[in-house]
Amino acid sequence: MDDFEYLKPNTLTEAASLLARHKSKARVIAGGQSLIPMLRGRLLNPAYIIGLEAIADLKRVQSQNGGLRIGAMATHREIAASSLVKERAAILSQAEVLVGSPAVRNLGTLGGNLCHNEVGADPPPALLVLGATAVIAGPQGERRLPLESFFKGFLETALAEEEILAYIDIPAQPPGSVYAYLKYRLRAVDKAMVGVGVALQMESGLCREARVALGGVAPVPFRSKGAEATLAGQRLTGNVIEQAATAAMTDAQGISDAHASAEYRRDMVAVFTRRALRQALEAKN
Amino acid sequence: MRQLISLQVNGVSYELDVPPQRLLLDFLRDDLSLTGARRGCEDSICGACTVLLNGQAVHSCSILAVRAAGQQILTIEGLAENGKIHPLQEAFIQHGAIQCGYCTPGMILAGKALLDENPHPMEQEVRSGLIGNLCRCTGYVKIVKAVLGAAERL
Repeated sequence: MDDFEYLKPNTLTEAASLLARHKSKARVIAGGQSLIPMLRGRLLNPAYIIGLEAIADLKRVQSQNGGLRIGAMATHREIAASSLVKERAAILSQAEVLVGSPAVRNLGTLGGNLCHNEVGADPPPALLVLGATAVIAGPQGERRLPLESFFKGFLETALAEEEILAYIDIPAQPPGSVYAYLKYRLRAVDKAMVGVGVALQMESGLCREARVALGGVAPVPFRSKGAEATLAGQRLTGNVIEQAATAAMTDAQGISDAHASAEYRRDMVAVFTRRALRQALEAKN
Repeated sequence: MRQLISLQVNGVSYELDVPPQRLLLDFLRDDLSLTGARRGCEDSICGACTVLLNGQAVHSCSILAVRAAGQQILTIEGLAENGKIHPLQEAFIQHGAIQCGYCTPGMILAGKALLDENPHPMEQEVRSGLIGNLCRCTGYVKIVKAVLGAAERL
């Protein structure tokens, strides 16, 4: 690892001004579970590391307008254990407990996970079906960006050089919402080869609105509009679930790597979308 | 560029100048000569370098020493009390949960973090708690039995 200076701002404003001053010579560190291996491998050689751990406000999980505001520095462990998150965004609890290992969840943060944007991360599909928004701090103050527009490409996000992800806002969910997040992986600490998040708003046996999001099968996590359209307004019979699974598979282009071929990933998207839909519906009964 | 940090390791306070890029693992092994935390994958996967940070398991290869400033660290060297080894250590010996021993400090500390939080775990919970610790001798069955055995004695 090359030399760097470690800066530890006490406020978000101070952090933003440090980043504005040092720009591409600086990297922000959250829990470090992705950044430190990258520094060690000399994939990055920043002159300054800006640690956000002293900014207490960024660690909070709080109630907001019937929904939630989660600070970017809240750890996977803290979010998975939060009763507020279980009550208002159950699918996020389900996803957080599947991130890495206990040691990774103890240090790793939600904000760091999202900013790293690694293929197969667990929180993004959960947050996409919850309709989450990124609150981003920069030199001109804060801006809000729907999480769907946050993920740009392999390890890339919409964050500008001088911007910091500060909070994730999750809106209040409609009554009758049921969820499931399922992860397919070969080894215990792997990222998701396929991650499927579903949120269904059920009313008198009909699915009013459906959200289906996929991770691990494209450079960025995304919502399967095909699967969502198949489910919306329908009674969710075995047949409709089957059609939705096929639609999700069609939307997933798939990527090939050392873990699996694109074709295999697409097949698994169908399998895990079907299972996630069934599990979400069972959670209701 | 060096930075002064103070922290507690195994109940002993230290104040030391460290370069900011020093990993907690290197700080423990090279600066404090506590070699119980093992250098394994150096990629936050194998768990051989596991130590407890304020009671929680962390991979010491994936945290900077400066980040541990002001915190409490427990390594395998700090587990015995008054010269008597910890019940988890006794259980590992009793169940033969050791072959080469390289993963053992990490396994025991991950096991301690688990039992501190959940004193009477089910077998599946022990397996989940040790998910981030690899044993290259494939001795998981005895390791899981040892943690369950220690839970009965604690």
